[in-house]
Amino acid sequence: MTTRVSGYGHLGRSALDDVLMGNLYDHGVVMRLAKYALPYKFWVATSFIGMAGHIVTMVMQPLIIGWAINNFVDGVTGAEAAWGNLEIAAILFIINVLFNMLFNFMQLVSLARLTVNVLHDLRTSMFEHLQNQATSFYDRNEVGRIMSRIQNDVFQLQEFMDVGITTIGDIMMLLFIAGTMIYLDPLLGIVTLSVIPFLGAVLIFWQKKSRPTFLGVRVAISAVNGNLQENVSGVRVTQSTNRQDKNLTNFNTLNQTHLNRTIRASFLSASLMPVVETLTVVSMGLVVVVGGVRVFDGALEIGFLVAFLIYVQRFFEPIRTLTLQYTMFQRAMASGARIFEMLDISPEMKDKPDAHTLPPIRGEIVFDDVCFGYTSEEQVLHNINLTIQPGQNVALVGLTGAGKTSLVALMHRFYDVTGGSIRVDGYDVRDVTRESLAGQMSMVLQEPYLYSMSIRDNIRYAHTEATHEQVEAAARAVGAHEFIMELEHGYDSMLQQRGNNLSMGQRQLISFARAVVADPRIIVLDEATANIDSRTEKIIQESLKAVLRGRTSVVIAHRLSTITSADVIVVLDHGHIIETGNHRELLDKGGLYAALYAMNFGEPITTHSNGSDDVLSMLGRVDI
Amino acid sequence: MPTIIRIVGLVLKKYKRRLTMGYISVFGAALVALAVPRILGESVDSVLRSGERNVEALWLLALALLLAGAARGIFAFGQTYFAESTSQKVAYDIRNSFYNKLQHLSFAFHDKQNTGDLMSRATADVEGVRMFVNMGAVRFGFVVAMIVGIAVAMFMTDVTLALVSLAFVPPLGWRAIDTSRGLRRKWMEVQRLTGEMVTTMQENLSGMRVVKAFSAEKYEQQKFEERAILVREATYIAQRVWARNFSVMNFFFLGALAAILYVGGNQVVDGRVVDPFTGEARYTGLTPGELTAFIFYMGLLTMPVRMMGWMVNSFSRAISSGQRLFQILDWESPVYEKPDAMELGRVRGAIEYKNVSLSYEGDAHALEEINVSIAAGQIVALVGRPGSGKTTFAHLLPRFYDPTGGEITIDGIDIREATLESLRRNIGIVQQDVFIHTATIAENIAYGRGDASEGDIREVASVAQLHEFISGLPDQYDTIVGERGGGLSGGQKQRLSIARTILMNPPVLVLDDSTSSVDAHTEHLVQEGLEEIMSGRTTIVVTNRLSAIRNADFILVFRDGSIVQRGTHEELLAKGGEYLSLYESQLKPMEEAALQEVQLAGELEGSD
Repeated sequence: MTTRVSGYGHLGRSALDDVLMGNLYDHGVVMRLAKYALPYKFWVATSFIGMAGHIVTMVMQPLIIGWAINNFVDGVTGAEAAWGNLEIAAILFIINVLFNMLFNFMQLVSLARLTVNVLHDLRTSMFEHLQNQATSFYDRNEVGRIMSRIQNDVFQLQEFMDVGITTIGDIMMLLFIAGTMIYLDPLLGIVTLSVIPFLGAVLIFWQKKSRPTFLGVRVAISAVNGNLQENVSGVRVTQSTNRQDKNLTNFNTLNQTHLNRTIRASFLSASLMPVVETLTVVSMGLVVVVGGVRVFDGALEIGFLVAFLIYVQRFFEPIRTLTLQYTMFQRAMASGARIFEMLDISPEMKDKPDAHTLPPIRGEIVFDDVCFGYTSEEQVLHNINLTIQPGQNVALVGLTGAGKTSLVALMHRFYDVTGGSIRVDGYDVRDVTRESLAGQMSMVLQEPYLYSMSIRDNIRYAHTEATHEQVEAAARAVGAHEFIMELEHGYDSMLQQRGNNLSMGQRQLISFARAVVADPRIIVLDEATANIDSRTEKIIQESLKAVLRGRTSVVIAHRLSTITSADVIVVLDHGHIIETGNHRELLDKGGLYAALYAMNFGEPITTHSNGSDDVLSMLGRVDI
Repeated sequence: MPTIIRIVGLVLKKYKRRLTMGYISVFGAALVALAVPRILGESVDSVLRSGERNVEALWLLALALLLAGAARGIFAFGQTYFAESTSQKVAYDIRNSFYNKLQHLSFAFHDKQNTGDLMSRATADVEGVRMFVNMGAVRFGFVVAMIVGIAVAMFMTDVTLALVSLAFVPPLGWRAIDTSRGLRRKWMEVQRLTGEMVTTMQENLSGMRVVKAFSAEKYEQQKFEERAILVREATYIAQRVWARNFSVMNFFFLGALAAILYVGGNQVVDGRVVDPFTGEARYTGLTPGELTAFIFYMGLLTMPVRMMGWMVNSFSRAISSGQRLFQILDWESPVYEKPDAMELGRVRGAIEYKNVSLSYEGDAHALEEINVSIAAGQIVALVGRPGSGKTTFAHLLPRFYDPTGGEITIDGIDIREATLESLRRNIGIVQQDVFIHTATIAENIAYGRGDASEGDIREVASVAQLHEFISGLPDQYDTIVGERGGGLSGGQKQRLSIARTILMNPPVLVLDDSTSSVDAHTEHLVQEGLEEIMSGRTTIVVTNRLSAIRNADFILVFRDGSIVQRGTHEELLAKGGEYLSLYESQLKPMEEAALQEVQLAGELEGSD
């Protein structure tokens, strides 16, 4: 027995994830999909008109051929009359074919327009939906999983719509042909169609028999690719542990399983062919014998016998493809269910219906008895009371897990407080629109995140209205202008994914410039500790001053050396504020801050492994 | 073209018989398919013939139809089955060799490749080659056989009508091929745009905190929508081209029917002789049955002409896919084993780098003139800024890369003289960013040693401070972890890697601990695990941690690919220079974090 570690909520580990195929028809999924087609009534109408026109003209063709043959075979009045009729038949046929082409084109183009529009709307509504999810959604759900839903499941639906609608056409065509045959000669029609029940029985049997195999192929290929992907990602481990042979054996087992199943699947698909072929010729044989006798009896004209033969040929063609579409339908239903499941997750954090726009603020922040926990069992912040004056520079200090990051996340409303309130210039952050709040507040993250766009677009980011002068001024303010100009295309240089073609320090500067362009009243800075060479680090320290000037700022400090000049230093421990004051005051107080600072800049530290007791005793019993 | 020949060679090498069976089916299917229109034509004539009720003749014709149809079904089965299974077998072979090639290529190769690209070769390109084997190699015969066969049958019946019917084939075939090519370009454009759209979405989701921090949801939506619209329009254009081509091709096929009906009908009427006495008609030229046969021949011709486009597509796709696959399969790994390489026993662990240098086009890994001698059992710490060459130095020992100059010896033996397997068996590596396979914890620990007993695994897990955590899991050592299993934290992964290494019990250890990303509490535990395994082994540790540095017998300071200083911590601090500046800017800040960690760890232990 094996299980997986830790389950996730929401789509992280949904039961739907393991469903490769759903029912053949899922009413809920189809109806919701149909809603997306509603705005495109015109294209729906033209596709159906095109489809109907195409079918009618197709069914008329054998009739024209039959009529022509009747005329010149049995034309009693002799050659001249037959001549005329033949010309009429040929002209009729050409006209028919012309209309056939137009209807066909109309149908195909309308369907194309309809499906691309519907899929586009589906994609963008999924994207929009994801934008509105709270941060906590992304804590729970891996990006890879969300991506696979959007990519694979939408692709399945695309295939479904492309092929599925054609299937509707095929079925309509079958019914129309059957109707025409019965209309022409009820007896012959019924005899010809008498093979259909056999065909139906065979198809149902085949479907039952082959479904597990086709499903098995899909399972097997995903195991093969999964193993391959792991091997590529883990190649360094493989080589350092000499696992190549064992790995190849494992892979070969999976690969062999897949091969065996595909060969079995190809046997099954191929085995349907003799059946369909045989039934086709049985049907034709019946037309020849029964139809021939009807002609002898004068009940049927020879031309319509030929028409019957053509109908039989056209009748069996789409049936072959119908069987292959069966599994595709099932897959599409499963995908549709997953997509709508995701669209149904309502965002945890919405603006209040009566939320108002936050007017331009001065930048005062008040934490009033704030409590917070990510889960209901565990509280990470307890009764935080803190007032930050406009323009003040506040540093948050504390050990890992003390609650520094949570505190600023709340301010930005990544999460909502579980008790108390946070007010900006007197406005409760929950009473204003998120957009107006975030518009005046910027956050510079520890790990700068850049997009594969030009440097200019990265700096401008959401403020697309910013002029080039503003962008350049921001870059100059943070000291990024020089290195940007050294790049081949300056501000138009394209960044690779995540800005991989820049050094860590350069990326950091770009993200500072981004914050400057946004020109917020309040700025939150998660101080970087990443590997940066000392020269860049000096530039960054300088540029930070430029970023923070004239704004209320809250800095999460990882190194005490950088915050000694802060207006207020707030020391957090286990979710409580235990000390506040400026550097001097806190040193005089001789608490946790003083102890930490002494270790940093005071006497050398004893060896870490056997010195832990000393350190602990030095830190003493910090009273909480 | 050489690519195509090589693919065909792959098929012929192992699957001649399957291919032969495929071709027999193809020609058989074409032959009997041609019989059906003839029989149908004969039936029409037979019904018309001289008023007499010859029902038996009709029964005979129906029987002939049945036989031809059944035979055609069987051949069609063979054609599909043999083409499909041969192509799957070829795909299987390619997958296996691709897999094996990848796991033997050196780090230098993998440093430059991204997983996504390799995966697309393994999936899309393998499929491209497979489709060619199926379509190009086998069904190509079908297309040729059908077109030639139908032409012959038509000419044997009536030359004029055959010319009229077949006049459509060359332009239609050309059109099918031409449009297919154009469409392929259009679809490739759609794929490219889709790729860009997916990247936008990926970046958006991965950087969601930035989006939220700047309240940029609307902006992101607009950015995505722009990309999505490009995809939508490109898809529509490709589909419209296809639709136009499809309906125009249909038009010409059906138009050909009109021509047959008119020209053939004229011939029937012209040759019609009515017996003035009985009133019965005889056909001296074309018979109505033969005209019917022509109509059905045209029906048969539709498929092969359409397939000409697919053929050409599968051909050009196979060339590009084949090239991408063979590029990897033919890649020469710079790290290879000598034919007469010796089996290295358990070494004592004396290591020497003599004049070792490494140069690359990328430059990032360059090392210059490295000379280091490490006695068995010594601990050496490598420090330096990112990109200074310390990790590369460590990776040369297990031959993840080979130096471009100089030599490296273990116990006096040049490592290039030993087999890769025996060399790497002697060197245990604990990596910073540990890759966990989707398998049980026990399997992951025993990764390098399949023969380890359950007891062994438990023991090493205890040493690596992992046993307690594992015992708390519902399925304990049988719990599935890894990418598709449950998540382990950074520290747990690292301890798992330590356990794995202890199990292999190597005389030489390489620890890569250069960047720290684990949380404070586990870092403390990892540290204890590391110290446990270093004793009694030659250890090379790449680190930023002062504690590890103090434990070392000596420290090598790297800068720009050279060793600029060496000595103990105290000696180097006294000397000043690069080490001191490193100490100020990196080691000390790390220590600051370490202090917090110790305090926290103490509190956590106290509160337990």
